Amino acid sequence: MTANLLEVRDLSVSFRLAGAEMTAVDGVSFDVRPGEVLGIVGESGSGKSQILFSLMGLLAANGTARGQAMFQGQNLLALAPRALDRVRGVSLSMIFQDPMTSLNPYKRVGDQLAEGLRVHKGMTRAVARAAAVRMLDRVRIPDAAIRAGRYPHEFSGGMRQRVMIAMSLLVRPALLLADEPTTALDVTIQAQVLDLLADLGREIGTAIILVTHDLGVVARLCDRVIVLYGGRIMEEGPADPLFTDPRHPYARGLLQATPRLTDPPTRRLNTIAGTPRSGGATLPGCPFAPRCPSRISVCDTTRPALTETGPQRRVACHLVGGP
Amino acid sequence: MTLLQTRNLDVGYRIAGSGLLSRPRHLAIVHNVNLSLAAGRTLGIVGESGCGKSTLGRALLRLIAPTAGQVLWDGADMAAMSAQTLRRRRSDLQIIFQDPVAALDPRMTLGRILSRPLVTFEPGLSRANRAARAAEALHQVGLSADFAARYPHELSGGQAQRIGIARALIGKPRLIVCDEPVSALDVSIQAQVVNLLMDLQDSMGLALVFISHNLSVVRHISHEVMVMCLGRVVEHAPRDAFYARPLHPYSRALMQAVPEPDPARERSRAGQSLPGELPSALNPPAGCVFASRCPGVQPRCRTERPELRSFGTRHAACHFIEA
Repeated sequence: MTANLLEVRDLSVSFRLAGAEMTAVDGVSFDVRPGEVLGIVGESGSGKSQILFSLMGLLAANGTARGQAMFQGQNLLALAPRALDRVRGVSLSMIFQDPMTSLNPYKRVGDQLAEGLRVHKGMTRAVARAAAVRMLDRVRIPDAAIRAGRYPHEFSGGMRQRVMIAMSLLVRPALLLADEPTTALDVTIQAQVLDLLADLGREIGTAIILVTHDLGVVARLCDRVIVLYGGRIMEEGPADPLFTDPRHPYARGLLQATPRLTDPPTRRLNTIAGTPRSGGATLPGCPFAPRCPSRISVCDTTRPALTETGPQRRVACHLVGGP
Repeated sequence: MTLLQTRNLDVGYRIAGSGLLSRPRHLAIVHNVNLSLAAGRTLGIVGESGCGKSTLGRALLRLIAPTAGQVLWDGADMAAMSAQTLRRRRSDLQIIFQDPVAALDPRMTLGRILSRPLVTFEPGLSRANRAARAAEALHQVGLSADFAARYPHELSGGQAQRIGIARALIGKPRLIVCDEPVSALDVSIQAQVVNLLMDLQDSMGLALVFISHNLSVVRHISHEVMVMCLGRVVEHAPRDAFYARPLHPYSRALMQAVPEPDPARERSRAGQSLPGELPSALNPPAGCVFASRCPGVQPRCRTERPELRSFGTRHAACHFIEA
């Protein structure tokens, strides 16, 4: 049994909006093991991105994170800004959905990559630059040495995301946070970027938390999956059993609503009634209860606890029993 | 009965020249499209960004004038219609957009947004009758009549797209061009909107042009599928034939790249993504548009453009398809 790389306990994220408190993440606990790829999947407003932002110290000014996130012996949520900077530069990095807005448009791509190495690893300009070019080559940027002297606007969307991946992995972080990294890309480019993330992650030994709304992307990349709804974990488990035998009605609904090329070509799609929760007061019961096809009265009044139902599997539903 | 037909349709834009004083030049976006669409049928148009699918959709509605060829509506050339005739015809031809919130005027109530087209299409209608029609349109898309008093910012994404559909329906159209109508929506909501469009098609005999990058969604709603790449149709086939065995290497690459919610299947496809990117529309290749990425490329593909050839009920543009 290896030690966990990240242990998140009872993480809550809330925002002050016009005097009221809005809860985005509501008491979430999970672990990440070294080198594994954990997928956090959910619809808009589920709080999936806010989990990453809170770990990275990037919450909006009106946001507060409570709870604990132990990473290499330090609680990320309680670190002073300088200490957090050191962690972020060396062992924790993040990539975002939109690679254009995450790159500095005024700086040459090679210099942006080299900056992290110079600041955090104390490399000289020339050494850092050479390492940056090697990394660009590894993420399959053609003519990396020439391209390093170019500006972000001279790259296509797929190439920019590869530049971001190169930048985030250059310091060989222990953990990479990826927020919808392929959502803005075309499918054939998405496939390239997913392959690249999988290969490099494995090579460098980086663990990845991948946040996405796309169950297909999760299936391609992730070892384990957390299904999030209304800021709470509905179900957690290894990818294979969770996809073949989802226990929570929401996880089931989400899988059934996702059209597949391998389905028989019926015309109608399965749906989940209602709309995803976004903001509003925290419900006393299960956040999915208003949309749940199997709701019983206790679902409206009592929160189901996240209960172990099998090896590494946890489900929060009154209708799903223990192992 | 054929409603819409194109003959050798070319569409393009004027763009600024390379220097400050150089003449504007013409950029061809869509080349030589021939299609026909009957009432009650759906044509799915699939392709990646920059393939010209949205430009084609707009040209079908005569929102952009063709540079060559014809768009025939009920057998009449739309380019030859007077502005007045075209304006009347607009109630037959509607469009819904990808970003449902941006498509609605934030300062108007939904009732006003919905009844606004009737002021143009049916100028004799009284205010009370317009309101009644708006209520009817709300009902058709599954929203209650009290939505008429609300504003766009009060809507979720799914509700906003229903309003977009209701606005398209209110003039009793015969054709709706749906430009990525579900791409911005959550999975569970996407399924609701696709089902709604199919129900409306069944009850009203609507013809639909469904533009999307998502092959699995297109499969559910379409009767025939057209794949575009860099402004050219590379394959055009009945749905079942297309999904059972796509003929063009680009169609196969697209199909292969779609991640499916099936971890075992995805693992078997890891590392098989197609390298490279498509050339820019500003600098199109002399030969086949897919030559730079095609796994089966031959010297001939780089110099000679393949024509769309017919193979039974299907058409594909590749030199190396066996009949």
